[in-house]
Amino acid sequence: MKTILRIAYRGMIRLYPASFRSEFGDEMLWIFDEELSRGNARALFMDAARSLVVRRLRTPSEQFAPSGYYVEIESALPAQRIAQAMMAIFYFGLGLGIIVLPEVLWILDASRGVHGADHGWLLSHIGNMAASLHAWWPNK
Amino acid sequence: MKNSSNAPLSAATLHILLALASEDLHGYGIIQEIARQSQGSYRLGPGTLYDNLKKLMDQKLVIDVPRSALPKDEERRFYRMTSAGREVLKEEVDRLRDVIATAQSRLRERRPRNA
Repeated sequence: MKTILRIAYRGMIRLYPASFRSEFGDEMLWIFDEELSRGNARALFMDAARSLVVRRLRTPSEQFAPSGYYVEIESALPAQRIAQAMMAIFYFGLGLGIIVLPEVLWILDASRGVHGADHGWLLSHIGNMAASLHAWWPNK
Repeated sequence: MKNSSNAPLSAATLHILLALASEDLHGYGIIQEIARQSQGSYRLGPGTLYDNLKKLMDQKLVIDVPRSALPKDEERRFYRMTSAGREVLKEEVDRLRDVIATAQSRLRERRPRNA
């Protein structure tokens, strides 16, 4: 149960503005761990929710900088986002492969005559499909 | 540096400054000190604590204790009240003293309406 609460609290910390989270996120989690043993989970979540709203409402005005002032722009690569995108692409490809692979193998086997068809089965099948499409194509 | 708006400090800000008045503390130490000072009646959560600490640090009323001033095996971050923070706290205490004095005198002066 403590693990689930910790994950949920960590999720709440992720909702804070990045600058605040990077500065205080670890310390908040440490205090959460300490306070959780006292059985104050509900109060801790209420406190985090309240301060999250306050912080989110306050952040846009803090981000404003008058023109003419030096404004530091975060230039580091968003490595975490790139890694997440790559993982998403990888899992999408893996899922697609798992779905499509049996069909591809079956077609390849069929084209080799494994399923008792002729060697030209695949080509003739594609030809038939093209012909049926051509038949449905509207005449100009 | 004075409190930016000279407005009364919030309860959380006042308690944080009070906790840091006598010694440098880490975040959890501040929470424990506030609970001790208020005899357990006021206990800050980490969200409120760091929200207010951030504000105090932006106003230069509280700073990070330099790593060089901490024991080598100390991993946690300690916070220290600046002289500007001490000034703001003193002003707030003076203001509260005036409020209490006014309140006490008003309560003494109060007479029943139908007397």
